[in-house]
Amino acid sequence: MRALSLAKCAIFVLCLALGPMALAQARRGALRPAKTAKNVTTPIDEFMRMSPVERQKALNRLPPAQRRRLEERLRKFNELPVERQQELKSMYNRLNQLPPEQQQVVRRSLNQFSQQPADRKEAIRQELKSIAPLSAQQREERLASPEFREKFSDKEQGIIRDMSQLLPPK
Amino acid sequence: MSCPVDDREGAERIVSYGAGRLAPDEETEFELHRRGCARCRELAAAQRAIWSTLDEWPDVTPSESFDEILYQRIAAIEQRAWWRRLLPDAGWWRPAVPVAVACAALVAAFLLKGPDLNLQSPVAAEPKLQIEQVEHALDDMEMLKQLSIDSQPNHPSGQN
Amino acid sequence: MNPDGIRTQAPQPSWNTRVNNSVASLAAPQGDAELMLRVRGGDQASFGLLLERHRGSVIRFLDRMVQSQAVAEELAQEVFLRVYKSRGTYEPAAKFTTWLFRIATHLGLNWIRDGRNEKGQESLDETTAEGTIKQVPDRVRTVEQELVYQAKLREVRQAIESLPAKQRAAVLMHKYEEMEYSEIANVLRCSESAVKSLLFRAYEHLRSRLAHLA
Repeated sequence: MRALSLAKCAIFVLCLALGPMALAQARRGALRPAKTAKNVTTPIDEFMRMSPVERQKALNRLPPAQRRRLEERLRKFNELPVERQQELKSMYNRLNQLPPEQQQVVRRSLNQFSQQPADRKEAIRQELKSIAPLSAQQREERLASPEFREKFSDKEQGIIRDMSQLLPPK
Repeated sequence: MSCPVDDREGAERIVSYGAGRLAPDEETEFELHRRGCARCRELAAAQRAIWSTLDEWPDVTPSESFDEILYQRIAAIEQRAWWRRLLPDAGWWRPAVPVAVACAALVAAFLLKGPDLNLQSPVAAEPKLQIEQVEHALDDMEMLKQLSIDSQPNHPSGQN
Repeated sequence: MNPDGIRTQAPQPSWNTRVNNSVASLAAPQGDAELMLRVRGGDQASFGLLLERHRGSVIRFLDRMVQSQAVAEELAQEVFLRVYKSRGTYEPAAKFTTWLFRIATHLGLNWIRDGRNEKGQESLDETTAEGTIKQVPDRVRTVEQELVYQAKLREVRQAIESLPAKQRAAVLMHKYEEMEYSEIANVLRCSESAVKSLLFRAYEHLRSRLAHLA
């Protein structure tokens, strides 16, 4: 019993000792949790948290046409359902947590994806959805399977393989 | 129409008239009554005058730092809330607090002296968000929107 | 075109709608309750939108209640902090503004009741002096006109301050926030007839004090 109390006391002391570091971390984050947490905020969140005056100042740095376009894009994004915004933010954060060279690879694949015909886009989308619930190993096996190779062209396989990095880890 | 001044309910109608908030039919009815009733004429005029006098009081403009201060306070609350969750429920730890605080102070002094933790105002310490970062984030989001992996399938073109 | 062809290519449709330059255009067109439900769901941007929409009216109301902009802003901060802290259990049972003003009125009445009026009285004078700087009207007045205006303003403020706290709150909501009797009743948690009674007495008092200014 005594040993247990001492152990609890030690844990408490450790927590207090780490307090200043956590304080600095939390303060730097303001309304944001730590960067490794699940719901990392994006530059869009940071922008929307700025005061209206600061937002306007930031926007005024852009040429008028570009500023108007950005405002419209932000408006459209903010109009999306909350769940959709969260989904996009999660993928965005997973993308930005990749090493820079991997980010380039994935963005290139996204560009290539956007150029695909509608039916192929849908097929790729469905494939990504079907491997999303799988573990990393299962995903690998699937992407190496003959069925997968028959279903998709080399380019499409590359796209799927690259964009699978944006899937939530299992 | 009975004279509104004679009953409380009616007198309140005069207040609404002075505020310009009577329904059109009620306003018409009152206007007709007013022509023949000196008391109501006087009271309605006084109420309208007061309304106009009160309009002289201008609105204040919120200070520019209002939002910033609010968000800092919210951040402080969230940090405190996070901290409280670490504390155990029972009060057994209370006697250990003085020792714990002393140890924490020593460790904190060591940690603070070592690496530069930069415990200044969080707003000053943060790198300023560049508007270009927002644009790039939107670029990424708009490309990612095509994927729609976690939710229901979108329009085949991937547009929302 | 970016050398690696990544960012400059826009796969999205072109935006057809032009927006005006006002930052307010960034506010999504959702109602307050919907925004608050988003805040409940963790969407902090929606809290920012609610703040932007209602910050002004809450501060205005509290400024007239306590007659000090500094105190009003402190109390307004507390209002929004309470809104934020309650986000987890928010249910859209009443209008959002009703809830907001209920908190604001409660804090304002508490502040008045707690006997800070002495300090408030000093700050009333300071604020009046400050207020003339902050609230410089757009139109240009002569010195004499300005003195007359400031004297009138002081009388209006003092007349409002002389009202009992609940009457004061009712008048401010009715006159300056243009709330209906029913909403004021919800804020003050009383009946509509009680609100009408409060307002009747309040305006009667104001008429007697300010008639000479009309």
